[in-house]
Amino acid sequence: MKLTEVLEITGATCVVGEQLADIEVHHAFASDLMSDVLAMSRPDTLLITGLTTPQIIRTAQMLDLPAILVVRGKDVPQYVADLARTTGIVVLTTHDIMYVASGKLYARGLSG
Amino acid sequence: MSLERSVEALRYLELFSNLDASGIMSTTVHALHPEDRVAAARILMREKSISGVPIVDADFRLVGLISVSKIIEALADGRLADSVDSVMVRDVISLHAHDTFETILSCFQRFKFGRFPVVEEDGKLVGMITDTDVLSAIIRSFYSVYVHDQRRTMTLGSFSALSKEFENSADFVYDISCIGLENAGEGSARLKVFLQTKGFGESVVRRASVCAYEAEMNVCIHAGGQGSLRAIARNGEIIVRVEDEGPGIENIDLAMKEGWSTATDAIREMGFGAGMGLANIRRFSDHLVIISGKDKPTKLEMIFLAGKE
Repeated sequence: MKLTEVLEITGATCVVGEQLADIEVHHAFASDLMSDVLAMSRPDTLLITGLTTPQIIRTAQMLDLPAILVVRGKDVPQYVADLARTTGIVVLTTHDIMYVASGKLYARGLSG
Repeated sequence: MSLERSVEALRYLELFSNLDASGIMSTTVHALHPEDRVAAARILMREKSISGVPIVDADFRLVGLISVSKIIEALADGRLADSVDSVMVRDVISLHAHDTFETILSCFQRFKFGRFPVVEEDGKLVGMITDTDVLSAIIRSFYSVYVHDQRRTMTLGSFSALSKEFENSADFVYDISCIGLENAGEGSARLKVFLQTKGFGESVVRRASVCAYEAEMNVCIHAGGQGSLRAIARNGEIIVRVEDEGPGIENIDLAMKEGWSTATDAIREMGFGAGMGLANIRRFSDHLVIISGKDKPTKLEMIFLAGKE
């Protein structure tokens, strides 16, 4: 699924990495536990999370995850956005809660 | 050490095959004669901190042994003034000076005594072997093998805990200095870039980076944020060493368990401290060594083999 589709399906906006919006993701993983995300260790995955700490960027970076979808409309702090920019990771935010965002994406074919 | 005939056990027995009873025993022996009083045995045990006294005849031949439990019995029966002869054990299990390490170990296992007298062919007492003597002999033996013997690598393979390479230099060095958690993970991020420039494959780099990141987070969360992250990357192998100054892991077995953590709620709110760190490291590394302890520094070394994907 292209990130442009993720934007459209969840009504998200792109915080970092607009130019990369046609990147594709093949799976998604929704969690606020970064160690659980690290345990999964699969690239081409969209990380769906309610956290906005630098650790979400670092986690994505270690795992080669191309993009993060921040749920519940949280503001991404500037220094976290900066870190995403320098590491080349796309950050999107949606007002949906994690369950709803996940459900919408899953229903449209983005598997776990 | 179990004496089951596993390949492993035989390997170690072979290592100690040059040890016999005469090489293990203490030759400073405190013995009594049968006509000595039980009270004398009690005093000897107390003064020399020993738990059993061999009894010998005029020619120093072993005729019996008196243990702490016999002294206690004699004390209860009011027989301290009696001769040792009347309370000692007569059918003493003893070892011969040329008995092998394997025989000695099986003696300790079978009879559950804390000490065995060692006698020569003619029955003369020449020494005593306690479990401490056995342990000391093992340690001496390891040392001599380490220094002199080619067999070390084969025999001590599983004991060679930490890589020696780091003593000289490392290919990658990052000083972890983390106040709060904001820059936690920077070292691992740099390590990842370094490994990529070294031409390692995507998958092994990812595994090494994830583990380094978990280890770096551990330093930041649990060890005051001060430590080092170093790596050696060559010959298709990535060795990552993460060290800190403590306070150490009190129970490593427990810490390895998924879901077990000592992290605070503040850490949990950051998405960590769910007790998956070390479990993840174990999952993704090909070889893992952790050396730590309560109020001790922690040394964590992980090896990743590029050919393992």
